[in-house]
Amino acid sequence: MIKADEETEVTVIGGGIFGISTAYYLAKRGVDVALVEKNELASGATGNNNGMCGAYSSPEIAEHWHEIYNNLSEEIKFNIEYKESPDIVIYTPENVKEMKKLGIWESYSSKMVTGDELKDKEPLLADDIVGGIESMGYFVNPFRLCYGYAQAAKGLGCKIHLHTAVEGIKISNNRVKEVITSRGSIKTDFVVNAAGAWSSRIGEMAGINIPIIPQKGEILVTEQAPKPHPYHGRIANGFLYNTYPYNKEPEAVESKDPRIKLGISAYIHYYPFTNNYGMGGSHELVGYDSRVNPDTVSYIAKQCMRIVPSLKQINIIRMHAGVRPYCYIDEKPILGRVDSIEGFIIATGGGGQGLGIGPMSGKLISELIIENKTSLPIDAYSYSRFKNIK
Amino acid sequence: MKEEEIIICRCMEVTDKEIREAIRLAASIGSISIQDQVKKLTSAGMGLCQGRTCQQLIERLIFEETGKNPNELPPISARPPTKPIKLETLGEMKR
Repeated sequence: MIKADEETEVTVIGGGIFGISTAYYLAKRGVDVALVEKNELASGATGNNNGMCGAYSSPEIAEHWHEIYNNLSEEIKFNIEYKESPDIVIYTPENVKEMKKLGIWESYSSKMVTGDELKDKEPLLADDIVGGIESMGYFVNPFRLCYGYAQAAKGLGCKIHLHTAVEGIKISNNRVKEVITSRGSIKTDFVVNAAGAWSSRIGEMAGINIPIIPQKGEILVTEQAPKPHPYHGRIANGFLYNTYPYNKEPEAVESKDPRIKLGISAYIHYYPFTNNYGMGGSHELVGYDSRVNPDTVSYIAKQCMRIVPSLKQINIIRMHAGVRPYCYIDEKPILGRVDSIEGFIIATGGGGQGLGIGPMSGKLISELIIENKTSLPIDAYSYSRFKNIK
Repeated sequence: MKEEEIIICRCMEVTDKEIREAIRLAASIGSISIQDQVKKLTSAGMGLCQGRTCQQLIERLIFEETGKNPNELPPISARPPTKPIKLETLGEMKR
């Protein structure tokens, strides 16, 4: 239980990567901080992904995330298993046909490695690949990341309350006063709403509408297999991956095409520390349902076999699903203050890129609380960008 | 034998020492579903046999480290499929 007169400068809600990193960077600078989480650490989107870091929704942060990740294991004395993992997005003849129809083929083809070159580099690929676009990807172990931050934060005095659900936020004179939980109340000056897919519910408790909905993703995991070479990050099926604007309601929800309805972005990736493949993913708007949908995993399997047929006989040993915090207005994160409530800060909306931008977002939120300014610009992600939201 | 030489999870090659460290870490943060946290932190029980071999050994280590009996712990999270399935079988599934 939380003790009766518990008081702290900052209460962070959520034990995912946004919350735990915020708590760590605050504690590191001597701020009195408590973290509450209704379940276990990394039990939402942070714990239900493939470990791949991405950040296309927030370029200002993407440029700098490595500054944290490169040195983090050393800083927190815990191996977070961070590793560069080269990616390739490959294009099949059917991809090319559809892309020509959409008039986008030219802009892609100029950046491509040819199919023949790719087959030499990676014999696992299907014979009829037209070409592919290479890039560098990054892997991190999300559980070790969160536990590493948590252990370090705790060592610096942060109080961590797991299995503690927030039930209310007490506000008076437009100022945050207290967080009421299932295990007692905490008097606090600041609240950081890092509740991920549940952050809109915390928003409701404070009387504001946060445009975040749960977006489901599903992943298959295979038995162990030799490391592919050279693309041991992600091998993605190009057309599915790059060109569908999934999640545009209501078109997506009502579509008959499984690519759009389920938001499939078929790719195969390799877990560099456990030596098995993962296959994903989906972007489904079905509320908080995080059960595995047989139609989704079957479609992912089919599209992955299309690009790497040699994996047909590999065993799938696990399938899992979770919900991401998805900003349905512009797909960008929400970081910063809420003007109408002093002391109320939002740090969520990572969508499919939360793992990449989470640690830097936590650091920036800690700066905002301590210094009232941030070392990187976050205005583009402010809550005030939603002008018409009630 | 030393803790670092004893393999508890054969599929993922996780040692007694690594599992005890994960148990202590999860317990120190206030975790309740310690078996799940051991899986997540070390990959023990996440290989081809899906924990059929090591599950009880891990529960014994949890008892030794925390004093908690297996029946005091929440049920371990189970994921489909019950038995491994070939990618091709899944991809060609008709519904």
